Amino acid sequence: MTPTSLMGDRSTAKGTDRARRARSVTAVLMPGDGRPSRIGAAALVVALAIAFVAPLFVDSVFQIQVLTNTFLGAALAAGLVLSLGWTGLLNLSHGTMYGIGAYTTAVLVADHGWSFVASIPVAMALAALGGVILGLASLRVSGDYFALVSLAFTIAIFEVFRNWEAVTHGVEGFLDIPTISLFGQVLSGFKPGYYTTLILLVLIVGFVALLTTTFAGRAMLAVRFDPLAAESMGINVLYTRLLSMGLSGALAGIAGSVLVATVLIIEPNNFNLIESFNTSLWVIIGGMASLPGTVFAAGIITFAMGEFQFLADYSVGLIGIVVLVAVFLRGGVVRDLIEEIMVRRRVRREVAERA
Amino acid sequence: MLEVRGITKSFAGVKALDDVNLTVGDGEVVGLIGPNGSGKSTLVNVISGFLAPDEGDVRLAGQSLIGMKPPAVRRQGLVRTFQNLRLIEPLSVLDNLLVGLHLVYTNNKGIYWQWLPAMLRTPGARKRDKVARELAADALEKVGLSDLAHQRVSNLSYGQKKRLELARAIALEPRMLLLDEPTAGLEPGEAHELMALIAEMVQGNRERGLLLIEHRLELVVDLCDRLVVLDSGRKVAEGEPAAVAGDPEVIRVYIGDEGAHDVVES
Repeated sequence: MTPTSLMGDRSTAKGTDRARRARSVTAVLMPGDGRPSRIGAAALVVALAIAFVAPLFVDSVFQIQVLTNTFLGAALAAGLVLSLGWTGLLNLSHGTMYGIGAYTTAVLVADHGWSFVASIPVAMALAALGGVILGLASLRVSGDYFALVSLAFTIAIFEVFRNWEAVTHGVEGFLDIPTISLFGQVLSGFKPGYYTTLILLVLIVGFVALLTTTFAGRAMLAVRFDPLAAESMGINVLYTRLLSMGLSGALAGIAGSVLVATVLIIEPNNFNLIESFNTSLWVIIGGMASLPGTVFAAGIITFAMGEFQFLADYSVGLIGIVVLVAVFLRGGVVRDLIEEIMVRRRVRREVAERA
Repeated sequence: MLEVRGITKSFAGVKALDDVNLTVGDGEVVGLIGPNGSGKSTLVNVISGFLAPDEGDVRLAGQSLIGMKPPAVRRQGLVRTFQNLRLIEPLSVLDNLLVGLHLVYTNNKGIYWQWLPAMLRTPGARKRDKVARELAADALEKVGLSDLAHQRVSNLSYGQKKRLELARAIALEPRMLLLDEPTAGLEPGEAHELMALIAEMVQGNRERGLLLIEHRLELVVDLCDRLVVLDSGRKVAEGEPAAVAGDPEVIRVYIGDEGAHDVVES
C-alpha cells in the first residue's frame, strides 16, 4: 500500500467525528454560508438592545466612558479584520489610518471651518489612500516582512503627526476643537459620545459582515490561504489586497472622524505604535478571520483594561501572555472557545434527539 | 484552439523544455505523457502564465498568451489544475467552487467593483450569485460531491479533493482545460474511477479542448485522440495513442524509467 492511500484511510477513519465538528462551525467560519445562526442573531439583538438602554440605568460617568472606549476598540478591530483577517496581510498600521482620519477631520473642522459631515469622506479617502500605499508594499514583501514595513510606516506617520507643526499642531495636537453637532445633536460629552460610538460600531460591523459574506470576501480568503490558486482562478491578487487595505483604511478613517467629534481633543500619542499594535493583536487573538471573535476579543480586553486600572498598568506584559496563548491555539482564543461551545451544544442536542 | 510553438525554457542553464510544439484543437483530447522530470508540469506552467518561456509562443484561439499573468490567461478561457492540490482547505466545498467562479461575479474583469453591489445585495448581484450557485451545484453533481457541499475541505479524503479540484476547473465551462496529473497520488482503483469521470465529462462537452497530463500511459490511451510524449524537455513522439504506445522510443523512455517512477510515486 502506498503512503498516499494510507493518508486516505486515515482521513476516512476519523471522518464522522470531524465531519460533525466541521458542520457545526460552518456559520461561524464560512463566509459563503454566512447566515448567522439563530442563537447568534438572537444574542446580537439582545446585546444591542442592552447597549442602547444601558445609559438609562448607568449614572457613573466613568462606566459610560469605559463602555465608549470598548465600542471604539471593537469598531477599530472590526475594520482591521478585512486586511489582517480576511486577506492575511500582517497589517500593524490600523492605528495610523485611524490617526489620518482623526487629523483630517480635526484640521478641516477646527482650522478650515469645514462641517463635520463634509470632512468624513475626505478623512476616509485619505486613510484609504494610506492603506493602499502601504498595501503596495505587498508587491515586494510578504508575510513577516510586510509586518516590518507596516511598523516602519506607523512610526513614520507618527513622526509626521508630531512634527508637522503647521498642520497637525505638533506634540500639543488639537486641544479645543469646536463642538460638533449632527442633526442638531451635539456628539461630544458622555452619553452622546457613547451613542455616537455605538452607532459607529454597528455601522462598521455591519459593513464588514456584509462584505465578507460576498464573493469578494471569498476572494480575499483565497488570496490569504493560496495566492497561486487564487490567480489561477482569475482573481487579481494585488487588486484584492489593495481593496482590503483601502477598505480597512477607510473604516479606520471614519472611526478617527468620530473620535474627534466625541472627544474634541486629539494628540499624536493617540495614534502611536502601541495603539496600532493593540488593534492588530485583537484581530489575531479573535481568530484572524472571525468577525464575532475579533469584536468580542477587542471589546472584552478594552473593557477589562478600562475597568481595572492594574490591568492597564501591566497591559503590555499581559497582552504578551495572551498572544503566546493565542499563538499556541492557532485559530484564535475566542474563536476556539466559540467553536468549542457550539460543538458541545450540537453534540448534546444530537444525543438528546437520539434518546 | 491551443497552439504551442517552439517553447524553450531553461532553469540555471538546464533546458527543462527544448523547442516544444503542440496543438490542441477544439473538442480534441490530447494526452501529454512522459516520465517524471520530463517537463510536463513546466509546460503547463508556461501555458497558464505562471512561467515566462525563454522562447516561443502560446496562442489560444489566435490570441497570444505570452506576457499574460495567470488571471489574464484564466479570463481568456484557459483553466488549469495543479498536480499537488490547491484547494482552500479551511473553506467549505461549495465555497471553493464559488471561489473558482469568481469571474461570474466580476463579469470577467481583473479589477472588479462588483463587491459594492454584492455588499448591498442589489437584484443584479443576487442574480449573479444565483447563477454562480447553480453552476457550482451542477459541477458538484457531475463529480458526485453534492452531499458534501457544506463540508470543510480539510475533512475530505484525497480522492474527494481531486474530484473537487476537477469540479472547480470545469464549473465555468472553460474552452481549454489543462489537467495536470489528475490521478497523481490515487490508488489504481480510484485513479480509474476518476479517469472514467473525465471521460464522461469529455462526452458531455464536445467543444472544449482538453490537455491531459499523465505519466501512466495505460490510463490515457483509451481517452485521448492524440498523444504527445515528452522526455527530458523534448518531444520524442506524437500521434495516435495505439501507435505511440507501440513506439520503440516511447517504450525505451518508459521501461528505462519504470523503476524510477515507482519510487517517486510511493
